Amino acid sequence: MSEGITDPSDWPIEFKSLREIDSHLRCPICKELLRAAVVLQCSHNFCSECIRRHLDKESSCPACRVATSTSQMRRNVALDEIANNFGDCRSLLLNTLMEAVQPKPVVRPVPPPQFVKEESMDIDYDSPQQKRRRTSTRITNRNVSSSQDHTDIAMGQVTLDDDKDDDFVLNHRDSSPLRHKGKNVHRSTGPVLRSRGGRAEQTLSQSSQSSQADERHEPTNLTKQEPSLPTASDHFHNSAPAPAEVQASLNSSTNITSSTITTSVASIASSPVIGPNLVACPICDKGIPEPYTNTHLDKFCLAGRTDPDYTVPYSLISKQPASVIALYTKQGTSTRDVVPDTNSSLTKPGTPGRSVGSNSSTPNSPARQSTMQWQPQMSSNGTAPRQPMFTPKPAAPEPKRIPKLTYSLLNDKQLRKKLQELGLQTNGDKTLMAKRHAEFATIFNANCDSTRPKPLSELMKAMQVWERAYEKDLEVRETQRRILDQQQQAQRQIHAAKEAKRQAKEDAAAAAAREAAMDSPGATPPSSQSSNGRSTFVPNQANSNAVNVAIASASAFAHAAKYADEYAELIAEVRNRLQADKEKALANTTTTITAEPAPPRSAPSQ
Amino acid sequence: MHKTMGPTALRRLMTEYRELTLHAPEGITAGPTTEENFFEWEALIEGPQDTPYEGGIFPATLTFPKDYPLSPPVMKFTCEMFHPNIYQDGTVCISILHAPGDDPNMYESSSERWSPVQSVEKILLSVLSMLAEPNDESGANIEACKVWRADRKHFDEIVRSTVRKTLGL
Ligand SMILES: [Zn+2]
Ligand SMILES: [Zn+2]
Ligand SMILES: [Zn+2]
Repeated sequence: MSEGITDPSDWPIEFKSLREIDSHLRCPICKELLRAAVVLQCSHNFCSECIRRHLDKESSCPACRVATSTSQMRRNVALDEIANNFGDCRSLLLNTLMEAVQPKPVVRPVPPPQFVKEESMDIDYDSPQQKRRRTSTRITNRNVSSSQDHTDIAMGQVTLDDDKDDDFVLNHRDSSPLRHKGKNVHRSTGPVLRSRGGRAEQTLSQSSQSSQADERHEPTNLTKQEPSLPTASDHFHNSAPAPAEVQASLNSSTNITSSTITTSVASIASSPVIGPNLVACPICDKGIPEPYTNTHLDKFCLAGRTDPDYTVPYSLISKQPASVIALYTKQGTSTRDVVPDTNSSLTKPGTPGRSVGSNSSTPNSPARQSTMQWQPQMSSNGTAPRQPMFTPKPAAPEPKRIPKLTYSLLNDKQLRKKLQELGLQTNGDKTLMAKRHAEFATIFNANCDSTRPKPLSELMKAMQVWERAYEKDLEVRETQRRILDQQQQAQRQIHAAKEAKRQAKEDAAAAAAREAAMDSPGATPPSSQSSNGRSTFVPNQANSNAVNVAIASASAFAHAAKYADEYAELIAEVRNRLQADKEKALANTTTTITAEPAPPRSAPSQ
Repeated sequence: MHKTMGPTALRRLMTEYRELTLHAPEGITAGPTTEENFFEWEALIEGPQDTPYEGGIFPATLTFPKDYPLSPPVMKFTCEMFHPNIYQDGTVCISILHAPGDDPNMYESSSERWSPVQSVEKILLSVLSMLAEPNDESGANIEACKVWRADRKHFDEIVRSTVRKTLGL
């Protein structure tokens, strides 16, 4: 249970579309984000493994019940990629949004955020190179601005300049900054975000696509700037203040919030890389030595502080030739000069072993923000390769699936051989061997459907877990059977004891009658003890204390019927002991077992 | 490994529990009996309005199989229930709790039966509507069926008396 349980309603209510996206990326069977998504003929999507397990039981779609089978299902590669990448960025995105929606309490009065005048920005900080760079990071900046909008809404501090046009206001009204109206023209292949947990690499570009703000923002950015060279520096600086302002503005919680927004949104979309050693901090825009990035983010930018050691905006030292940028822009895949990320899930769908290892171990780790690592993707000499991002590739050969077997047609030896061929354990009876084979076929074939297949060693580990679970299950069943046996036996004994009681009463009545007869004239001699006739009650030494109690109660009644009430108590005790025995037995087995068929209600006392 | 059988069922149950805690439908409370065993749940069902069950709060248990949600849970009221679709031992007999394969009542249309896309919430909502509208074709409690068909007034009286008993009145 290391992975948190997530759910579409995690998203703030303001982001209904994200809730929708989230729920559509979930498997209706396991209710988790799709893994190895496959689509049935009816167009319903499931995790490959989930639907395989279901189809083993029933040949119909669980959602619409249209008849189907595994042979008719197809991989849904794009959906799988989307679900994987959504899972990668989900908690980061969620944290960011939550902070935006629920701002930190303001301790001291905060002046409304001052939007920096575009003119001054341009004059002070925009070198020609930088402007070109900003062309390339326009998406980022737009995102930032829209997130900023949202912050303002949340904080009730919307103080936009009058000359910000109506589009801006409009965006406020629908208060869904991440609405996707704009055409997805610029796709950025961003830096690769890695979490230490080893969850697969994420190209953040996908996230940036999904969070692109309204195209309508663009005129806002451009109105006061060079119309010929669109930049979005104004918006960018709204949330990432220029160095001169950093000190002052970061002290206010407003700006902490907005800078936090910048954290993820900017980090999602922009991957400024400068020089061989320096990378741009996605939050403060300063040039930071690459290995120091994590520390810098954790200690300063994510904590809302300024780093005293690195104060030079990376833009001032960046020297990216515009031609390089243009290259990627044209291809519509990247807007900056980064080396294509060969590990990107965009570039190699379905390549086995791409995210080798524990990519599922900590996908939604809360520690994600602090464990991200920026991987500069640029060649150190600043030149970018000219080959296109997407070279048409022959489809990777599909791994061979393990065919289903009709286990009833195989004998033990044949089945054992099949298991051996797959490198699986061969112990156990035929039932176990068949189940083992079926289980492995399911997880193996599902793994083949994944765009992030796990190495075989992981599947083998999973099989070991399965073996242990199977053994435990057997134990539990055995215990349950024993308890049931015991209960039935005790039931029989209670019945016998009751019989004894009835007999005892009769005896007592007979004795009383005899006494009465003796007292009266003409009495018949007393008959020999009839109470010995209860030999049907044979105690079983092997059984629990319950038996002894029952015996005790029976003999008690053999002596006198006046103990009838006590007998009732003894019966109750028998029941209690049985219950205790049962609980003890259950406690010995581990939990998570389905309950046995209800214990027969104990015989009513009296 | 989220994909071995046990963990899948466990995680799915945890998800549903979370969901039910956050957005419980009216008239329904449900959750694991103990934190240690997510496969045994307790539920409290409020008797629907304008039915003889109104005013009652009926405890029940849900017992989940290890391959949940591939197979449905078993639901059983732990209080006395007089209803055509509830066995005398409390076991609920409605189509959503029957996998298509093991349908005791052949008339049940497969669209109503259990499928892994169903949920605890849907089961409990079905039980609520079952309380409001018994299905007298499925005779889990023959006596209740008979009374319900023949003498609705008497049926209501019996139910109300069991409701009072449940409430300890
Ligand atoms: Zn699934
Ligand atoms: Zn379907
Ligand atoms: Zn194609």
